[in-house]
Amino acid sequence: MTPSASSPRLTPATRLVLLSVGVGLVLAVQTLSVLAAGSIVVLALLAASGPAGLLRRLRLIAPMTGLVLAVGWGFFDVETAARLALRLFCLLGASAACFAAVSPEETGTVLAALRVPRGPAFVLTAGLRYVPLVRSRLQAIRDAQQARGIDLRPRVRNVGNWMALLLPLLVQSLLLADDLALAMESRGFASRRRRLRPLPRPGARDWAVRVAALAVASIVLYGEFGG
Amino acid sequence: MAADLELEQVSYAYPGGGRALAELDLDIEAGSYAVVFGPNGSGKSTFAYLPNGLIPHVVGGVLGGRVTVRGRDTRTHRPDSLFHLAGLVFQDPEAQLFSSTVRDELAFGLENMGLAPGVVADRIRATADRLGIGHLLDRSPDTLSGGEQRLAAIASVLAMDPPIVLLDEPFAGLDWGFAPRVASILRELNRAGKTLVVVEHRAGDYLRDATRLLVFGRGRVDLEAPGGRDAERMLKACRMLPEYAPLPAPDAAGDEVLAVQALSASIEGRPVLDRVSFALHAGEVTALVGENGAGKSTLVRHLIGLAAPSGGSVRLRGRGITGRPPAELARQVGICFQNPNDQFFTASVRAEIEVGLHRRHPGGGRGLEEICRLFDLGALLDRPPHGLSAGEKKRVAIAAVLALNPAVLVLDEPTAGQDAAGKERLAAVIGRLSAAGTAVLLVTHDLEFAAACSRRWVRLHRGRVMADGPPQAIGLPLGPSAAGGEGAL
Repeated sequence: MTPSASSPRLTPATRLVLLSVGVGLVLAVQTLSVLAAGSIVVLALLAASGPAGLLRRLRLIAPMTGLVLAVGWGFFDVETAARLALRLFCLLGASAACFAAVSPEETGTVLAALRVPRGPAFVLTAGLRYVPLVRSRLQAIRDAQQARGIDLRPRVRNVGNWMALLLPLLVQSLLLADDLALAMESRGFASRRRRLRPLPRPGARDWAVRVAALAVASIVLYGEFGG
Repeated sequence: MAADLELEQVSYAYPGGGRALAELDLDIEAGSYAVVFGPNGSGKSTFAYLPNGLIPHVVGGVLGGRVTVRGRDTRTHRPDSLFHLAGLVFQDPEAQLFSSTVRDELAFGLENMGLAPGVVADRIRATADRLGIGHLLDRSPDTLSGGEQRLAAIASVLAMDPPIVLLDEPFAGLDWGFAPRVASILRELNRAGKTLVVVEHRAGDYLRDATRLLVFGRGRVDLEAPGGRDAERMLKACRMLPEYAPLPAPDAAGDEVLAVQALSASIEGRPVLDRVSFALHAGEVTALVGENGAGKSTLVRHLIGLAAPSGGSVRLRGRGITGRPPAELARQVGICFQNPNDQFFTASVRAEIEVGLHRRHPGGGRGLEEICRLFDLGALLDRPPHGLSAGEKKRVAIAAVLALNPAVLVLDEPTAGQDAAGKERLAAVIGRLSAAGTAVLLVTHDLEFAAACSRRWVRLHRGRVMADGPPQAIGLPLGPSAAGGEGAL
């Protein structure tokens, strides 16, 4: 269910620490070369899931990054556009890599251990549970609409047809949210007696990684603001 | 015997909606096994949401009267103090399973009960063993077959060991292998002292285990009878089970319209279809049957190029479909998937049908009026599709696909969520389409419906065509109430 202290994997808490440090750095750093280096690290993390996983994630992240680059270039200058695009790529890529390895249940347990208030913690964990459900509904809607003759391929002439995808998706998302709430409440989500599973204790590798991450963050921040 | 569940003069209206229950009086005794039937919209599922307080605390709406669960009034007790007393298995297992693994799914309720981690682990193991799903514990629910998902959903409730278990259509979509398993699980639970309430549309051997039969109509109990051997006869007498017209005499098969030739496919490296071959002919109704997870849905997606095969081909009137966009192929092969809500995006039934009328090849085909007549939609034309009943939605969804005037119509689980009247109407429509020359492919677990519509069955088993011929030659458990709840023939 969860990795033990002797597991070769990092504990969920360590992964979330890494994500937090990474997100903090990406938001703080302005230097283009550092953001570019960060993007390479993120790319390597994504590639760790294999070529199929890398392609699947890039298919989602790359268009958004490209769009931000194009819009940024149009409104500002090329350097600002590149900075915005690299920052977005790092944020999305790091989140994707992290949440692919940490389940919503593990995230919820870590947040509870960190004494994050139940409201915001619920929004995050429910959101993580919701994403794969929405993705499968999106696939079903796309199939259903194409099977009734509506062309949804990414072509300029098909832009008007995308309403056939977006409106059912909106309705289904609302229905899914209702279903999710009912399913969770029907098994006592609001119970005050809730007792979460114990977190796996961090091992030596976890502590080493955490210390290394903080050291790298300190060096980068010193270079950015203190040098 | 003391009542586990008492409903006194219960009426209920959904937020912004009409009345779903009206002055419902009902006692469910401890240790009883009640089966609830009724047409779509009769209030069966609404009733199932009452005992653990989802209505009114989560769903909202206006609840009148009193619902008492083991002495607790649901107006003053919220779901978090009722969930361990009255467990609810939802109609759609996909809507119930939200965790990353089956193990996490089973742990969710147990952790909310405040049990120690060791007890949680023991309960998960015991429940998984009882239901025979130990090998699924570390799988993600969305990788399971429909039958496995149903078992996981039941396990997620049984793990909490509630004394009352309500199951909303537990046999829906189950094949002849899984349905008897579920029937047997319910029998054992009841023998162990659980109070069971099963809401269903389907008959089956499980009715013999029931101690009580309730038939709902317009939000109240219209008829009450003992369960057991006479239950099925009683349900037929009050038109709760479909009675199909006999199939017309067979005509000679028309020209070949669509041919699947040695089609193979994989999903994430796992082989799903293995050299599947069969052909569809004009005017012929073919039923594609197979166990949960046999590859039926994957095969359907390949018929108009929604997925790419790893080998073999699909040929439409002799021409391969490779490289042709699905939306263009849909003008010749219309597919109506299981969930009508995936299709609807306009404000009226008329507009939904017109989407197809505007996209079809020019020259011929049924007009709006004829389609409405065929599906009896005249009175619904200006209504929003999302506001219709399940049966009406299904008719609109098929009509919208048929508006493209396809030569082949594929219906994926058309009887899902349909009551007896809806199934009878669907069977009649399929008969008329066949008579008009449309090749129809029915993808279904409902063997009774398949037998009522089709003389030719193609059986898919673990991705291969196991048999192709008349139902009697297919090797499925035919006979009265076969399979414990599904596909009585």
